[in-house]
Amino acid sequence: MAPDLARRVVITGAGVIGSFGIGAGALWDSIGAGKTKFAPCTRYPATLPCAEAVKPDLRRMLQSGRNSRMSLVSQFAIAAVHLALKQADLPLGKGAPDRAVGIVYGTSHGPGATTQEIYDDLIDHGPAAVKPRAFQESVFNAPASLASIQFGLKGPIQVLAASVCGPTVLYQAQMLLAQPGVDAVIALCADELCGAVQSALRVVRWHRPAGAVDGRSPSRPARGAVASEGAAALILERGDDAVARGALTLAEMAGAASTNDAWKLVRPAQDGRGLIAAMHGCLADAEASPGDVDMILSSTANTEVDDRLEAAAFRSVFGDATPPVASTKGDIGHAMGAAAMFDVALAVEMLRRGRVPVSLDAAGTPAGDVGSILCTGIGLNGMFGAILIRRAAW
Amino acid sequence: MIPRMRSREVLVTGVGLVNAIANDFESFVEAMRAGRCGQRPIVGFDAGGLRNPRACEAADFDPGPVYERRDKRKMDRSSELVLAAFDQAVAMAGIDLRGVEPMRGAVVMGSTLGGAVTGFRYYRAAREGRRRPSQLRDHSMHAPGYRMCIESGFLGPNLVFSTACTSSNLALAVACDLVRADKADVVIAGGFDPLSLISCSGFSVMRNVTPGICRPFDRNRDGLVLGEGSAVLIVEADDFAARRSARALAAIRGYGLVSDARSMTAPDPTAAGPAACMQRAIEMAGLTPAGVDLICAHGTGTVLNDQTEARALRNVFGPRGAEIPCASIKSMIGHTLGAAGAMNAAAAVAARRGGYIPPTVHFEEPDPRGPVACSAEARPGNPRHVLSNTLGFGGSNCSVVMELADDSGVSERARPIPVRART
Repeated sequence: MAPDLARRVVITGAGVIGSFGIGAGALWDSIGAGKTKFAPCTRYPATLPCAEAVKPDLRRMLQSGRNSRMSLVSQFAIAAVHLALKQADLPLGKGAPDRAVGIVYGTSHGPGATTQEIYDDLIDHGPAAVKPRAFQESVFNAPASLASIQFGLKGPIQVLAASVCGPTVLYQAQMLLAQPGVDAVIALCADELCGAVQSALRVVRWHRPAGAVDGRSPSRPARGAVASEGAAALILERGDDAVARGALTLAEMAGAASTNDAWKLVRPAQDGRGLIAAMHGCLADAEASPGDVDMILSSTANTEVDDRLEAAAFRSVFGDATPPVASTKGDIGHAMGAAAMFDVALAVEMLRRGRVPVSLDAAGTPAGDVGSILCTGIGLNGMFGAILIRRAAW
Repeated sequence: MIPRMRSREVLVTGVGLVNAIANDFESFVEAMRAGRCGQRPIVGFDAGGLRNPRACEAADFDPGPVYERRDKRKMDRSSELVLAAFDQAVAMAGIDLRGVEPMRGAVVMGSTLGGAVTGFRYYRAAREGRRRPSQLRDHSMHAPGYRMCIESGFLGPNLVFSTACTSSNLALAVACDLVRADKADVVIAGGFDPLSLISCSGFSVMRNVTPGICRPFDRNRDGLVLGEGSAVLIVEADDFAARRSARALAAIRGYGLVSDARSMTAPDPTAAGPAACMQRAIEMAGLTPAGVDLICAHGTGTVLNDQTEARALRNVFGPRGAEIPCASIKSMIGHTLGAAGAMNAAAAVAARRGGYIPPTVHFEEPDPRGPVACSAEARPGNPRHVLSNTLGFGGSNCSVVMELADDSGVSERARPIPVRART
């Protein structure tokens, strides 16, 4: 039976920027290459290791200097959206077809460095010292709003504050595509590093301590994540719309789920119920079964808590037939709110290239046989999600 | 897979709230009827150096009962406010949340600051070398929502939107989508924001805050007054509500969501975005502008916001835009930021309960550049179709249309809301 393309969500563009560089090619090349150095951030005094993103040259990229003084997270966001729109060949603005393009943006910490600047001004000098520019850029929606201004996006803007953004953003993007007045949706996740956030993540034992071993191989103990930063944007369209405009379909976003474990603050349920609910929900949404999953891109932060609950969840959903599980965190760090979206972007790139990066392939996935990849999401305070990315079969 | 939107009615069966003039729904009905203004000197923090050391703080709010029902561990102000409103809403709805199939229950909230009050406290102490990890439990913006998930056992999405002033109208819109897409039977929806030195300082240096009193739509208005609070609504699918014989207070009929794509801080002088937004909400509700009989305005009291909103009303409603009863409750409870949309929704239900049009206190003289039909005192009325607007920082606009149920008595069941043409 022919698929109902009007209900299928297809990905027609992807843009990424992170510790690996700019673009999906750079992300691909970084996997298993050991290119990313985990070192203290150069922008603030720090001892904790991190994977600092490259700063985009927006002046060159957009032929305009108006975005160059924005907060870094906004610069990441705009660069990622620009790349995604370009790949999707979806021109907007003057002279382009009138399209209602929405944006769903997710972030874990928002403009962290700007917020920290406001806190410092308040503590050191009082309320009058807060800078108006800093305040207007400290709102969580600033990157999405600035992107809407830059690219003339007059459709809906949704901004989600979430510790696991990728699945949540894609879940909402899919819902937006159900609206008849929305032609396409930009699903965007971005986060930036700052001293206060990184330090707090260490305090709650999410972040790896300074000087710890890297934990990249299973023989090394889980010691926590190395924080990273950056942005990932995907262009999502209804399948029939993409076909009608002759767009190149990179992959299908077959299913999405966003759940929580209803358990305890900062202590996720160790039986993995939140992630189990997310994976079942995602597969049901995709009208798929566990046996249809060829590979899993895991979202654990390399903490004992995450690893344990994830293992329990995989056992519950897949039994003895868990597909190969791989993680990108050892290569590119954990980009907080953008982390799961990097995995989705990598999954899209795998399907586009028809192969698996060599290092992830070590997990036991035969190259070329991967047609569907499940990307999981585990966040703080009980947030979970899952996304199934599938080769478009039409 | 893109969901198929179904014809399920989206009902509101419970409302709870805390703000500067009321600590529960019934007292809100009476406080608005009396035109009470919640503006007073800030007591929660040292307000020295602010453009206006007065605000609409929920100073009379006692979080004691919130703790009595739970463990005694200290929580963030946001969680206190949210859980107080949540308890009220659940009680009013008479719903056993544990009876909802866990995957078909969701939480959708809106906020701009979340746990920033605690975050700032943590940061200040950390700078002095004192770190208290327990303070970070509530720092994430979705923590209050997670607390409600824990108590309800809901395993569905726990979403919190942060699109500045439009956050909780967006939360109501998404609650509507979740029900219509058949993803949820019950959604706990609303908004919250605490009063904080951070937001007061920011709005102060941007000179959006009036040094005096907030008088939305008045020709002599000169700025907003910040407020705080939380409003929580129990949103249910009609089929689910019918199975438990629940009384509907209102139905969410439609929403519009449009961005200006123009400026981070200045509203679009043409008002094209807010007008398109209102128009879409009205169309989704299956109405024409003639069917709207109350505007719960965004009405912040700043010169530009009110001027833009009045222009958008004129664009959508024509000359009738200056005649439809209009109210800005920010004149009483201040600008509650991410809670503003949910507060408007609560005010609409309260107005129906009280049989009046909410007042816009301190309103004296209409602005000839953008007249709207506000009154400083509550007027008798039984509004049925309400348009609630929010215009956000960053150019996002979100409007919601609600239909208020006929019977607002607490002990009697409301008549079923007529079912519209099904899609």
